[in-house]
Amino acid sequence: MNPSALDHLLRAVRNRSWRAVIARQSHRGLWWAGASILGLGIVHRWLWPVSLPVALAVSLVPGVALLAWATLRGRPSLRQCARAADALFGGQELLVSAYEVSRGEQQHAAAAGTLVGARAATAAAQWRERLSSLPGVRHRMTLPVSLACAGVFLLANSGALLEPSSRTPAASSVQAVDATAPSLTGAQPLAPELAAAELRARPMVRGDAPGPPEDDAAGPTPLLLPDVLQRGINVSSQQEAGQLATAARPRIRPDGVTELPEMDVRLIVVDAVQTAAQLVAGGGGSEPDRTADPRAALVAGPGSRGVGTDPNGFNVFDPAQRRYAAVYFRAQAALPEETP
Amino acid sequence: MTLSVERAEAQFQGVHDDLERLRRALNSVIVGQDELIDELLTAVFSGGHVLLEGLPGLGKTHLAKALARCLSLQLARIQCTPDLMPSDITGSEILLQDERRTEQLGFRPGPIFASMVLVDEINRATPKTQSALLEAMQEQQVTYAGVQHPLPQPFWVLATQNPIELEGTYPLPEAQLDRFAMKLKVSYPSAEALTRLIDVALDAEPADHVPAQLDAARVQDVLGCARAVVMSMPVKQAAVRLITATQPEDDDAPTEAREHFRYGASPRALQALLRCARVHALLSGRAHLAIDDLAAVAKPVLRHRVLLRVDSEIGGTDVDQVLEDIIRQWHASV
Repeated sequence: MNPSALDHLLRAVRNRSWRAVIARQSHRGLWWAGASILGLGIVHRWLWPVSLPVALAVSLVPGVALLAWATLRGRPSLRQCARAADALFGGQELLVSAYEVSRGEQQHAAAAGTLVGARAATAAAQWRERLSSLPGVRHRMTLPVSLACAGVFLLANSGALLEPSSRTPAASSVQAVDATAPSLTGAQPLAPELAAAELRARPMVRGDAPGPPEDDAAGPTPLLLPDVLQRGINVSSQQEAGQLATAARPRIRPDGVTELPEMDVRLIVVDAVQTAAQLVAGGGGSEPDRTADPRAALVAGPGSRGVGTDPNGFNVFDPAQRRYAAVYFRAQAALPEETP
Repeated sequence: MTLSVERAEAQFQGVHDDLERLRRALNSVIVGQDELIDELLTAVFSGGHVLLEGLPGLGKTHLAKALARCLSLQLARIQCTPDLMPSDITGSEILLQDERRTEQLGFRPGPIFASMVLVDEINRATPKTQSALLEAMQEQQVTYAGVQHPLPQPFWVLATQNPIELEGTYPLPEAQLDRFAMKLKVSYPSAEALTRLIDVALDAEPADHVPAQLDAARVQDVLGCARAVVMSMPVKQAAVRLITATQPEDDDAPTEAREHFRYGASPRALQALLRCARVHALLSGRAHLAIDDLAAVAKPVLRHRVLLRVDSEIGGTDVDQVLEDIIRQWHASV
């Protein structure tokens, strides 16, 4: 008896079976993830906001658990592999009998056990070649992956998933402020959560650390994400919004350059939006008199790289920057006028 | 190791060849009963007793005679009638004289003391006489006047019964039926087989002249070889599942068993099933048992061990049909 031939066959069957189990469970997990992401995307888009941790947990944890189970517990025993190989090759329990003989479980049948072992070894050598030529089980991945992509698309196009706090009561109060504020740009009111998502998704940050205001002659400076604005979005009361906006209110120097000395960032947005709105309303080709309006320096100053771009790189024609500016402006518009 | 393998191969191949030769010899004299002969050989070399059921004239007695001749065994025949007494089977004590003309009681063995006993029309014997066979069939011995007399080894009982004549018959009790390894139904041969029968057995009785194929020692070798067939654990478990599938009170019993069976197969049925399946494996040229072997012998092993419900019996339910359904479901599930 050549136990290695039988042993090799059984181990090959086990590896193949194990891989099949893992692939099957992965396929199930993928189906679950695809279906659940799509479902969550639908819910998030049209029914109720879903936070990112919940979405991840619901869609990925079952699949990961299935995969872990398949990896840890899905490994078949050699006896099971012998039975599977018998069923696969029509062995009529030859391999499982030989396996038991090799394990010393059939001691009462010495002659028969020897014969069974020899026959199994002969058959195993042939069946191993057949096993290697058998095609593996292929799982169709297209549909579950498509479902997952559709779900991700729905989730990604809703800002609240990426910023769950925007669906908090604080966000609601900002929305209330929004509703009362006049729209200086004339555009449709922008949902704060959408603006926040836009800011996070495509931040206008070109530097890492906030710094003091720099001289315009020093060239373009980083336009940093205004955390004061972010806090403005998240304020819980109108009074708090007013305080924040006061802190962020720009001051115009005699030379016409807007300055935000209280803030760590250059938030040069409010009047730029207004100016940009005028530019847009004016047909795009006609520019306003920059010298007459000091705010024009915001639109096209030294180092400008095109129409609508200020020296700091702020482009009023960039939708994201405009939305960002609009959010800020709405917060500012809710403030009482400053008395000089 | 190589020598051992060759020796084992030669041993099992020799047994397989012997069985094949025996099968051909029986087929040559009992025409058109190939399946019956296979089942009979299976039961006999499993060491079990056989109940042959069939209409008169189908060759049951001839088959038993031919088998005994092929195996070089002494055949004793008991023709059962209602007035047959147990001592007519087992033997009795009679007054004997020794050389000194001293008279003393001595046991005179009956016809049961033969290696192969043909009990013809067993259901015509009274229950008391039938019960005389119980100890002999199960324990291979006869107890008379408190003394145990062992029977020759090997020992087989081949009993026949007629299924249609009910008047003056005594159906075998379940305890007795359970002692038969197989109940074989002898059916009509095909037209082609009948045509061939004319050439073989018109003016002569070929069963009386069939040459011996195996001697007594070789018969013992075959019996020992059958016992050495490898039985793997999945096959044993499958056999247990088949037995429990016939038991209506079992939780996993199929609907057919619950509907039609009052009692299912016994643990003795499990023993008989595995023993017969081992011989079937030998006949198939294998040294290990397969689930297919169980399926092949299940029906003749189980058909007389299950008891139909009264309503099913009145409704004409065929035990074989119910068993076939159960075996098919079982085979698909293992």
